[in-house]
Amino acid sequence: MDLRSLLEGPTRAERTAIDDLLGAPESGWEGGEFSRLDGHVAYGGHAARARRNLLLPALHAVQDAFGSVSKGALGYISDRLTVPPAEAYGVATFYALINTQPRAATLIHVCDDIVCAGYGAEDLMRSLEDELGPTGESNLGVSWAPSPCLGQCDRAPAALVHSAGAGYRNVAPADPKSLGTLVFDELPTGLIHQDRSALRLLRRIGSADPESLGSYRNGGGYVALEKAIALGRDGVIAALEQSGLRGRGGAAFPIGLKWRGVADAGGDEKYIIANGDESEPGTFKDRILMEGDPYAVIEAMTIAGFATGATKGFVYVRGEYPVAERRLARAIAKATEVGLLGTDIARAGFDFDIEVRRGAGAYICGEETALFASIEGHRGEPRQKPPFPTERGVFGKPTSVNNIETLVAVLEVLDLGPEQFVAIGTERSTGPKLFCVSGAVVRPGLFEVPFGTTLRQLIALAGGVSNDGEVGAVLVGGAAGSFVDADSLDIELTFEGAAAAQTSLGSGAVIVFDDSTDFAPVLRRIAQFFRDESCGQCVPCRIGTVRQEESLARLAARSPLGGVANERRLLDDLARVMTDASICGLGQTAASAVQSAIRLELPGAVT
Amino acid sequence: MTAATQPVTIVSARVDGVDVEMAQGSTVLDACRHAGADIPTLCHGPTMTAANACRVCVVEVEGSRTLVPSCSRQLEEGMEIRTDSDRSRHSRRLVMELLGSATELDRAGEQLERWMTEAGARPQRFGMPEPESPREPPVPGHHHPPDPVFAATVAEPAKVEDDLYVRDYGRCILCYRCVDACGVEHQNTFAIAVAGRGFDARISTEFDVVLPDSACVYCGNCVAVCPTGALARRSSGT
Repeated sequence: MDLRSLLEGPTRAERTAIDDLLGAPESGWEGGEFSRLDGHVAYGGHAARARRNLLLPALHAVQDAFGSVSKGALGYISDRLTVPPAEAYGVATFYALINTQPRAATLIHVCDDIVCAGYGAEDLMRSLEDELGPTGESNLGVSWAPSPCLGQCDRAPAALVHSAGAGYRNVAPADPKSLGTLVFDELPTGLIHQDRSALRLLRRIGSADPESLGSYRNGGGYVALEKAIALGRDGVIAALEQSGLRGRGGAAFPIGLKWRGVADAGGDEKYIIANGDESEPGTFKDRILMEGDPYAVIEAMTIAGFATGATKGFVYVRGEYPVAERRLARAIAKATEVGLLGTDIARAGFDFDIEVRRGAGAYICGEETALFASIEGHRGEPRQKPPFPTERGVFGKPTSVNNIETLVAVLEVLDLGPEQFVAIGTERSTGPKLFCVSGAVVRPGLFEVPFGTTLRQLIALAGGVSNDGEVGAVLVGGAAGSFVDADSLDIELTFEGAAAAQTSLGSGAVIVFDDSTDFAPVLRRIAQFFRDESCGQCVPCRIGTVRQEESLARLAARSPLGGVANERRLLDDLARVMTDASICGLGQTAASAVQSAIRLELPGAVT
Repeated sequence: MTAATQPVTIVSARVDGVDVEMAQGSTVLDACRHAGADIPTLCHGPTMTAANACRVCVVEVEGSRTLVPSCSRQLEEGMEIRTDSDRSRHSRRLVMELLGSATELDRAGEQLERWMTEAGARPQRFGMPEPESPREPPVPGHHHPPDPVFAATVAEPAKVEDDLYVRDYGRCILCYRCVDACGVEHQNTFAIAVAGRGFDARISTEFDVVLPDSACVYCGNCVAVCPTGALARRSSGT
């Protein structure tokens, strides 16, 4: 590689922050002092480039400490990892939580997404504007910026505060007075409104101490691993196949089939990835699981390693979830200390290690192939499938990517046995399922129900519509999902029931809007979200999301281009090309909510 | 065994009802063109691995939920391909309309002009193109609210930073060809990459430093592979 790095040098503090992560440079070839020997030996090639996957962690290290990544820091990271500076800049500018322009030491990200928008976000932003000035402006070292959903919809409005050198802090519900303080209390993980004795996936949330392995064991932890080892590799996969467990991240892929694919794939190098990049607006289930039951994620990943022969796992945690990241990292350290991770786990003769990777503000990185690119140190751009991840995943090796809830459900399959697991739910949608209920309900929160529960029953569990209102519509599956109206509240929440009602369960987000809602701003916020989150790789999504938002803006401004019917035609044409021709699920679903609102003739939708 | 002595396996497929037989390793695009279908391409080009970004070459393949990018999808035995279906023609037309609505395409060649005319592509139906303005540094995850009058474009003043090149990114369709030519496909210099995200993505050096301050060695490979005239030699009349 013909590398030239022409950026200015790092400051001493920047160098220290980067070296703390990467270790001291070993030669002039990777950013250290040039010695005479360096002139004779080139330390390059595959070994040097194999460290590229540390690019995002290195950018985080600088961003965490200084609030932005300077030219000097980017240049030094490039040297250290043998990454061309232009590419490192391309990666840094891909992520919303990495700043390449200087910013205030404290930055307050305020969620103005579809749930928080109705529950105090506007007041919050108005008072921040009064106090600090418009977004982007710095006042006494503090500034603020609007943000997409922060995954705290059960306690809207939400904010995420980052202070250079002092880390991230979730504040929810946020009131302007609490935002300036630097108190690092960890919020309660999430209120469980249901009777815990009836729950499986949530049984330890709020009752077991998420920091304590002992507490996890007392709550039934590591029983599943024991059973898995007794069943053997094939036995585990057979049990999963028998259980009918399907992925809970949105794609509903049968988990047994996925693990068998990786188990049967050739080669020694295989990976397990726990996808905790939950970013679908209205979704917070994986946050509550990772924060409240981190050992469960670790145990299930270990079982996945055992069953598939993978020896390395990554848990990719959304950058907006600092508590989840901290608790997972502690749980991994503890499990490694007692031999539940590492070599010869539980003396069963298999090895498995887990590393936490932190996302940096990019919805697209929840898409599995984009997630691979992100871990590898590239821009989080998805790629065409096939080849599928079980064949060619992260680092080009067979990989099983599993949603956090799916992994926790794996423990239940082994705990209960597949026969009992199948007895929960319906024939084609087996087991318990988590739904994140938010918006116009009395008790927003996370609910565990058997598949087949109706939407009406779920809303009743959340206390019904708030202020004695009626349901106007429910957005099922988040921004990528579809609306159903008040006539469809008796649909069964199953994969097949949702499909029959022209929606999909997606991530399990259930956002309730009452009958006084004007949907025009909701649709515009969704269109804005997709425009902001498109990776920009393929034309249908990169430009289609822009045109969709423009069309809705013109309609809102009462200046439709060529009449309302023409705008409707444009929106339909855009929906078709995005759905049919985008590379990945983001573009393919970017028009879904808007189209469903039009189809149902919701108030404020284009009709 | 060397490539020359390896037996060639034949893959049979059907394009718009016509049987085709192709050597294994052929793409769906190869098969379509062999069958006489005129499929537009932009990011695909000879001597380069298809970037699979522009999506102007999508066709329908039976059994596939979405359309398939013909340039980068391997032909499989028994594939039933339709290039002339309403669905595939719609997406190809829309991709050209979207590109034309955001990008100046007047130097993208007669072939594209013909494809657009034949498809009936009307880029102007998305609104009056936003006039040229200097591009702000990328701020991923944020953008200015849409303008109710103009359709957003990538129009910006051409960059002339030396005696050799003009980089006129108002004509850039982000096909990745210059990036790949500068990097792994040809030159291994890595002076440019895609920066920013979504509609805000652009070809850039690190921190947008001028080309003479970047790793660029002026090999000319990027200019040679640019399909839309966004990159040009100054001697070529600009």
